[in-house]
Amino acid sequence: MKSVLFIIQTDPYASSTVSDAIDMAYAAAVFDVDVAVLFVGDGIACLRQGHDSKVLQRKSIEKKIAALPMYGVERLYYAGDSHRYAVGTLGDDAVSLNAAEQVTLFAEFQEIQVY
Amino acid sequence: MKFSVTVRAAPDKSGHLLALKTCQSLLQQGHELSHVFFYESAVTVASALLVPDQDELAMTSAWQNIQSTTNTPLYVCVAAALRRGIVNEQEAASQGLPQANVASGFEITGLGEWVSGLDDSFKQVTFA
Repeated sequence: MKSVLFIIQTDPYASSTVSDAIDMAYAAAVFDVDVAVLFVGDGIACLRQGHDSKVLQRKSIEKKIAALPMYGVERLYYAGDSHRYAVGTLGDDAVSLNAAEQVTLFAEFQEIQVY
Repeated sequence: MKFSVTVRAAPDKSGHLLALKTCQSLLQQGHELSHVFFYESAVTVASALLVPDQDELAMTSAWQNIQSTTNTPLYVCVAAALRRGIVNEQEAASQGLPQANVASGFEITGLGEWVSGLDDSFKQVTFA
């Protein structure tokens, strides 16, 4: 079974990058690829609760992330040491990993896509 | 060895040029390309309406040259393409647009083709 780890390091609304990354994760999971997502740096803001994307007239990244399990992507992580990047409360869907745990995760996956 | 290449960098970014040069080198060295997949802003290279400066590399033509000489499919993500104004005849008709503009040699397709590249190739390389 193929496996892809998506690392998201981009602010959720600075561009369509995070949306595109999640679309790619959906597609891979639908085609039976083993997928996990790790949020780091500015990407941690994706996990903040209570996005109001209406002001931008864009789709809510929070809702897109919430739909990942429906596509079979159950494993969501964030870099615990980048927690400071996010103001507000993070949802409890993602598991905090320290640096050593992140390295273990990298080793587990055949492909890593950085967004 | 068989490679698949994903391009996410817009055609004016150095990552896009690096993707092109890498593909050319892989082929020159006798490797195979299962496909090139264009995603995010990289899809704009598939427009037939780009006019590069005369003394600069015509990126669209360079990709078309790879396609025509090696039969390597050039796949363009449909969702990313529609958002950026790249459409084929079929999409133009279904979306009620005045015209299509996808350059010949490029194929508008879905993310499923990207996933197939993971299976078809020894290595998948991304340029962002």
